[in-house]
Amino acid sequence: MTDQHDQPLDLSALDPTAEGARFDGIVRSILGDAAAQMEGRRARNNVIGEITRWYKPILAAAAAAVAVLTFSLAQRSTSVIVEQSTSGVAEAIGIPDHFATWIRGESTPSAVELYSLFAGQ
Amino acid sequence: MEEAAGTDKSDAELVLAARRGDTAALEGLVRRHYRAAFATALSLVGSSMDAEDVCQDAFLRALERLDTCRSPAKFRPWFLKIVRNRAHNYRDYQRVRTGQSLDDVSPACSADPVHDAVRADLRSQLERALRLLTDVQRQVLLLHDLEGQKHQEIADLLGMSTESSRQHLFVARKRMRQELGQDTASVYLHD
Repeated sequence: MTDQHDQPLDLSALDPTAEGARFDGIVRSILGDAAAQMEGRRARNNVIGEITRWYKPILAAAAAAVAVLTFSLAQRSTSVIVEQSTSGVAEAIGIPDHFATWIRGESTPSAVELYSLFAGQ
Repeated sequence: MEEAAGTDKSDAELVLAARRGDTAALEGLVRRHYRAAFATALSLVGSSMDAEDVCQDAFLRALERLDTCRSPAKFRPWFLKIVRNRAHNYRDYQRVRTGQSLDDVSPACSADPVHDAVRADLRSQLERALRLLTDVQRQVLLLHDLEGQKHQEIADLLGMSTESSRQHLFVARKRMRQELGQDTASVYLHD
């Protein structure tokens, strides 16, 4: 048996959307009060849109600039290393020129050369 | 009646468009969810006029916080929570928004004044009977019988089981019919 309380009540007299013209007035009222907020959202969206529009080209240009800068820095540091290698590590740590020359060279110093070096000192 | 805006779009699409300032999208959300908002508000504040004020306030509040709606596809439950909060505030403090008053919206006025009078009388009787229900019974009844929500949706919204929702609805209908009287109740029964 189906109880009558299983049947829905007709509450359509309370339905605010049932009276079309009045409901349109309610909607207009809400949209009217929201107008300033919506205008602000549109303006903000335009700014974000502009930034988004310029974002990719600016990012590409920045990436290109970084690439050029990196390349030129790499070139420069390479030339510095080459220059440093001509003076040598021995000189850099304070070993006398004669020793440094012998170290770099393939010839072994003779006894006379060694004597004259230490005698000179 | 004006053509409904954005009726072919999902809630998620309308929310995203409204965030960008699309007024037609906002109108779509208002038209789609107004009745649910009204049912929720009416269940808490007890009168149609107050419920309309709460709804207007809630829509503006929701718009302010639209960017915090994490799941635009679940706009309705998110929005109805705002309605409930605003209705509680309204009821507790009888404090209304400062924008345009809905008193400015013209009262119902169709081509048939007799129909308008009968409808106003029915509304008045229903509101009086609704006030005799508990908050929960009113919310379940209005969400189910006015808005057409399913028990599962109501249960999720109100934080109860679907069985509780069914029981509250049963009791609410019974109480309403007793209050309205058998003669009047027959008017409210669907065929």
